[in-house]
Amino acid sequence: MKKALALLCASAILGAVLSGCSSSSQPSSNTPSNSSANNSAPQSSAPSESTEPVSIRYMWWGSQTRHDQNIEMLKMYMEQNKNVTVEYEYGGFDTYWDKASAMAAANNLPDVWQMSVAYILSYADKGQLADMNPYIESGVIDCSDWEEVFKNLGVVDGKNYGLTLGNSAYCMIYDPDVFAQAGVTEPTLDWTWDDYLNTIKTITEKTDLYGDCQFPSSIMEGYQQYLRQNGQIGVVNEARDGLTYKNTDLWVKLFTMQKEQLDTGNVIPFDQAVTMQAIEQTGIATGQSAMMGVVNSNQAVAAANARGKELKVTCFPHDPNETQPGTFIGPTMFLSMSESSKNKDATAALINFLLNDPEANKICKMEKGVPASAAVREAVEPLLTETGKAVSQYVGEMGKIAPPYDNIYAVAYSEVNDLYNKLVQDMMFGRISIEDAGQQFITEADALLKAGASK
Amino acid sequence: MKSMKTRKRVGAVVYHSFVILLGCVMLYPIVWLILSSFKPGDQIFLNAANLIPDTFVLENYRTGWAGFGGLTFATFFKNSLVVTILTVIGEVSTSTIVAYGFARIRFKWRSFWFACMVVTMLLPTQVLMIPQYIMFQKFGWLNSFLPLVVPAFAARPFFIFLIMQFIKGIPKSLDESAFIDGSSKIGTFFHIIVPLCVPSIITSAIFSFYWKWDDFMGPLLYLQTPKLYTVSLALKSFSDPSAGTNWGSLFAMLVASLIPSFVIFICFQKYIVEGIATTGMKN
Amino acid sequence: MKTAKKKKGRDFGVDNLSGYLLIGPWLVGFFLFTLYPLFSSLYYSFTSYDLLTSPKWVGVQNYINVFADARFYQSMKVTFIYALVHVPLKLLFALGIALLFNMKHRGIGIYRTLYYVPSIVGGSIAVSVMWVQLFASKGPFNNMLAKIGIDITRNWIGDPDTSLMMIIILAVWQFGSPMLIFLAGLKQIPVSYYEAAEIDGANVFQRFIKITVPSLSPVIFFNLLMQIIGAFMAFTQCYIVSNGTGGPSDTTLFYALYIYLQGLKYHKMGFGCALAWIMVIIIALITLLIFKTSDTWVFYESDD
Repeated sequence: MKKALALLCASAILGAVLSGCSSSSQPSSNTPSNSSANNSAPQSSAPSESTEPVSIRYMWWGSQTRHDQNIEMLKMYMEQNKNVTVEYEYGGFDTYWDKASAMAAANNLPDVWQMSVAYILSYADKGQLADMNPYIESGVIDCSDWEEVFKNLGVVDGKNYGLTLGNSAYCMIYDPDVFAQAGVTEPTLDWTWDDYLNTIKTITEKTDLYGDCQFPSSIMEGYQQYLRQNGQIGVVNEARDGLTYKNTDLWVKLFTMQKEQLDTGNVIPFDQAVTMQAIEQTGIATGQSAMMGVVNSNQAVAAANARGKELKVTCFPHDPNETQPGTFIGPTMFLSMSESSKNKDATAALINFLLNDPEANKICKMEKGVPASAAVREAVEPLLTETGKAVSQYVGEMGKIAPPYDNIYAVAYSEVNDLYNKLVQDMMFGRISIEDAGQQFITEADALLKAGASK
Repeated sequence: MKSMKTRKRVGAVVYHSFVILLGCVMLYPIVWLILSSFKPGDQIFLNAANLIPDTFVLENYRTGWAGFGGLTFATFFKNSLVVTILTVIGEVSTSTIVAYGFARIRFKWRSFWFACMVVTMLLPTQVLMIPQYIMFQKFGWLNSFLPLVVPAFAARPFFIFLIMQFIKGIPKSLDESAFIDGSSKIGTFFHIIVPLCVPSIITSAIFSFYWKWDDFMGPLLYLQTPKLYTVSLALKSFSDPSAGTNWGSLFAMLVASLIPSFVIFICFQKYIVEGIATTGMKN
Repeated sequence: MKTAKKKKGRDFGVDNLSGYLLIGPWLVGFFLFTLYPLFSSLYYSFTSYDLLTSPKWVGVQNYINVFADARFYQSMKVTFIYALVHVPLKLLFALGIALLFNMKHRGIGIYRTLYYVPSIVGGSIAVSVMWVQLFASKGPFNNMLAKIGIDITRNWIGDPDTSLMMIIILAVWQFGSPMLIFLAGLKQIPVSYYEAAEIDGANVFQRFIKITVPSLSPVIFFNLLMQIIGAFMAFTQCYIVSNGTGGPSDTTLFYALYIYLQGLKYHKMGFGCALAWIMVIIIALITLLIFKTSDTWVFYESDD
């Protein structure tokens, strides 16, 4: 036991040394409690006038570009608000949620953090996120120049759990040069399924590229849009506890179409398509196809960068008999405030800066999507690339014709999404009939949504 | 005599041709990885089929090394080295001691504790990370190197077991003769066991270094301030499927991150081969 | 000093003090760092735990749900196939290369180092990109096949019939750690054994069977056990290659990946922990079996 004691002592000493090394960078996660004294009610006075030192933790995911931009924005903020220290942490997307889960389990979430549409309900439902409506009403977060619909994208049961960092709409990316080469007219915003199918057929015949690298129904957002243009509100019902559409007719119609296009070779073979995981690996970015069927408009700029040339975007093909277009506008991502935050006022002020400050947003140039604030859009638009402008314009156009975004995401969203992808793969590799897959999706997804909502 | 010599020569030629040929196949992916890091960022995928870049650029190394928001990879490398070296020292030294205990000393409940040790190797980290995180938070160790380094001084079952297997390979007569010469248990350990186990200790050190260097789950969970980030964690901070990944920087820094493990291997591999073991056991 | 007593304890009896002192570092760590997470995960397996609110006791419901879950059986199947194919392949390959590098030739240090490089590339997403590229429909592998007259446009990783095989190859390619252990084991075999056998006129093969295999058996045993445990807990390779999905069509849904998906991605930590403990029982049984059989084929010098 003596030895054990000695070891314990040794590790304690080592511990002291190590923590000494890092103490300079210890965050003030246990922020002075006196700063939360004025926490009871949101105050409209700008917190920058306060001189009490405040420390805020901010976490996001992204790539090198976003880290650099966000840090620059924060430096600008701290320059303007000498009393505020923003402790930030960043990382890649795939590990972000593991870290967030651990933090939530230990009640250690940052004050403000980037939030995904796929997870906002899970965190909001469990009381991890703070309602930001009081700050919008008091003007600390100034949404006066936002379109009404954008203010409510993160609203659940009347409480605002996420403010959009930038908007996007699902779109199709295409390479205009290939269209010209094949002698095909470029798509317009009113094109139909027949137009789309003819286009990819002609391109495949006349060039040595594939027409499309991702048929629209390859991802669940494609199915979502298809349901919408056929009169449904989306995949998930309004109460978010089950599927809206529990029939296989539209499923069979859509996937029969996809299978035909695969079999005729107008789209990239499916074994290749499933390995194109990053946007830079896709057919449109590597020059193997003329189009990319369905993709978040925010990714168009990344695809263009990878391709090394400007690309254009268009909308989801219309159904001639549709009552509403399939396309919808949604947030690329949200900013959320944690319920556990001890500095909600100061955090709200920082959120306001990040979302609404035109000068600050000039740094990130719509990297996170098209900003909700009209003033910010006006300031940033001239700085965009051609593809960036096209995307911004497209999202603006869609905002006029697309019905407002419905909250399509449910607690079990990521699991339903995985189920969808698996079934699409099963169908396209001929491991299951389209009808059976449709049945399976209805039974299993419905059960998952119900279980998710009942917790 | 002459035929013997020719046979030996032919043998050597066959040997080298085989090893080199197989080596080429094995190393092709690595070469692709390294050469890709010298392609202009947007050419990595457009020009993926070509092994040799059309133009060699060092740009990726410059942009990659620049890191994030003014914090360069020099910081991340420094952090990784601190964490990794302390871990290697901790894991290897304590594992050797524990292995000696399990392999050579008979004590009550030995089998039970050994079984416990084996069981701890069977649980996947995916279910342990949440309670571990909560535990280290209660210790007040978050946002420091403590959760990454201190547990290393409590030995690592894999290495305990590995070194044990080697200790068991040492004839007991050697300990006994040392013992008769009046050596204590500690003395036997340092003068007989450790020198004879050098290959397995070095092997453990090489693995320990690489595993810690490569581990990102620990750093991801426990380090918050970017100033403390390790290379493995920084490497994960390049990719974002929703807005594009800086592939050029990622490839370049991945290649750079291989260098320390590579150097460690070069320096240490000869001790595995030229271990004192062979001479010591010739008796 | 109490030399006489010590001596007796060493050879004929038990020496609790020395034993516990020596295993002390591990024991302290076990109580300090391992026990709490271990029991927590066991406890969670009997609860409904979404990580965001406190766990709620549900009894054995998670275990019942596991056995009614189709993806559980799929992930079992994938993992068993992986273990059965990957472990022997990797061990044979590692042993073969170790024997090759145990010879006396020029430049062998360089060879050893270069062959080890694949094992240090780790779990970066760039490795996934590299592997996908290698086996793409127009990738180097198919090009090589085309040169010998086999024309294939299959994307080996995207095709559900071959996707698992590609992950097995990736894992075998990173054979460095068992190779190094074999090498260290080979170096521990006294040269005198071989010299004696050579004088007796034994050929290379006989020497391998009579001397190398028995002398190496503790190390073979170790590598076998560790590779089996590793195979059941395999995560990184399938995670990066399938982008964390286990696709296409769940053909690379490894057990550990499924635990990850349920526990962390879907926020069903109770279910994930139940999966984990079922795995612990399965590997523990396999481990026990290997330990029991080891008496017959593992020879320790110290047993003499």
